[in-house]
Amino acid sequence: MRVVRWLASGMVFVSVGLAIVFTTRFGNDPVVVDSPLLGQPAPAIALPKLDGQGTVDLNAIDADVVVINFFASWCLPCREEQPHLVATANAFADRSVQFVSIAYRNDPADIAVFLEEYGSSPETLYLLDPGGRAAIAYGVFGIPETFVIGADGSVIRKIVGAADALLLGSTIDAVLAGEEPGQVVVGETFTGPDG
Amino acid sequence: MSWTLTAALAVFVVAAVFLAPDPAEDRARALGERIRCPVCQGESIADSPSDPARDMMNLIRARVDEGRTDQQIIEELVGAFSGSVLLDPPVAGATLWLWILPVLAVGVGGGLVLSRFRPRKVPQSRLSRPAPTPLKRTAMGGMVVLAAGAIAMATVGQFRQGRVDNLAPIDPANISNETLEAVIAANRDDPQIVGMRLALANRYFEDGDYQRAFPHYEAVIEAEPTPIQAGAALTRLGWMVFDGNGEVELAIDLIDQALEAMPEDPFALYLKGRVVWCGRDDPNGAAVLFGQVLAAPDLEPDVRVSVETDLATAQAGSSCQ
Repeated sequence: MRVVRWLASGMVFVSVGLAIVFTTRFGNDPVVVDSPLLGQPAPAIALPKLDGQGTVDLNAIDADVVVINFFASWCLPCREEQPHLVATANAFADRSVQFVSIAYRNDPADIAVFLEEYGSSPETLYLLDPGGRAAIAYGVFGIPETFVIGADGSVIRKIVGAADALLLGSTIDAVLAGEEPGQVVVGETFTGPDG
Repeated sequence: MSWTLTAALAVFVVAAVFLAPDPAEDRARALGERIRCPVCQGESIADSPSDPARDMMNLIRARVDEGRTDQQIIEELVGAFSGSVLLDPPVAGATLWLWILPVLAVGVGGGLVLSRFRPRKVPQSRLSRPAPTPLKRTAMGGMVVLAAGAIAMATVGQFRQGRVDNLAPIDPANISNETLEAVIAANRDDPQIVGMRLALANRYFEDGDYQRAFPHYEAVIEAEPTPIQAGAALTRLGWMVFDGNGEVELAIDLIDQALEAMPEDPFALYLKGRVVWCGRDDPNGAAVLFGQVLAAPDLEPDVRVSVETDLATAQAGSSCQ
């Protein structure tokens, strides 16, 4: 009888603990789940350019840092983020840093209007993602999401939400300085045109 | 008769071929039912009408057609989205308890029920032991909950390892010039950016990169700076037009404007002394200015030594060095 009572107490103990764990962890927005890509080689994928002039193999980009941003014209935080992406891409033009913006579930015509209104950088590659293959390969839950790839081709940073120029620039500085992989959650993301 | 039978069989075979379920599609759907739609609430990608779910189903179909195994396809998706993309948590690692706990609960619950119905002898010694008071029971229960909570929090901490939810404080000394340029460009209409612009311009100035420093100092002057900020910018603009372009009078005019804002600033006085000495070839005028610099009480020792050397050289009537 005493054994059973101890087992019952243990069950209560474990149940309460697990309840706290799972309500704390899994009650959160799934976008804050750590990306399994951190520290792993970036997915190999080739995407067509927005201007229709060929495709770009993301893993073939020759740069010490590659900043891959998923955006869309229907994403409100992306409108806030775009001027910061443009400013950062322009500022790092003389360094071995390549910015890549991948349109997530968006028509080229809508993207063109978005870039016209919120700015674009000649230092950035603007790509399409037909079939959402890149978004799936990078495990995109919502946008904006930004992945920063180091010189060895591995994913060093994931930024969830709209990043500003200070975050983008200091992240690039950190990656160039060889800092450890990690993830930063700075704001909300959108999953579709209806939010 | 045989022709009729043959025709019926042919129709049957053709219908069977066209109406039979596609095994590849069945396999894709079965896999899709195991994958959580990343933008939905607890719905599989096989059941979700959302675009991301449709894209993922199309990827699964493509992988099935390529001959990938179920395990390879699942691993590809888990490798991108993490284990949270699985509707059934894996029977391993942190989610192992989700599978073990129900079995344990049934076992212990069954044991408790059986023990209630089983006749038992109560030792004499136990009969004399007093039952725990309600207060004691509450305290013990509370301790169990607290201990479990502590373990839970430690577990959550372990889950969160590797994630940088909050940025470590950014050390301004480690911010690159490019990052400062980006922040300034993205916030060019914000009056608060003047201080950062001045700091960046000073970095360029100290590196001798006048080409990059100049436009930032000009922007500081145009942005309604504080008197100290204006003085700092005018001092360095004055030195740059002398050192870079050899414009002596413009340099002195700019530094004089700076000295109106901060009359005893030793750096402005020193640079003006250098312009007077080297540009106007006036060691006496320079010596007066160097003397004013040395009157500043908080000069760094090495700076004081350097200015004293310049003062002695100027007082000797030598050309600038």
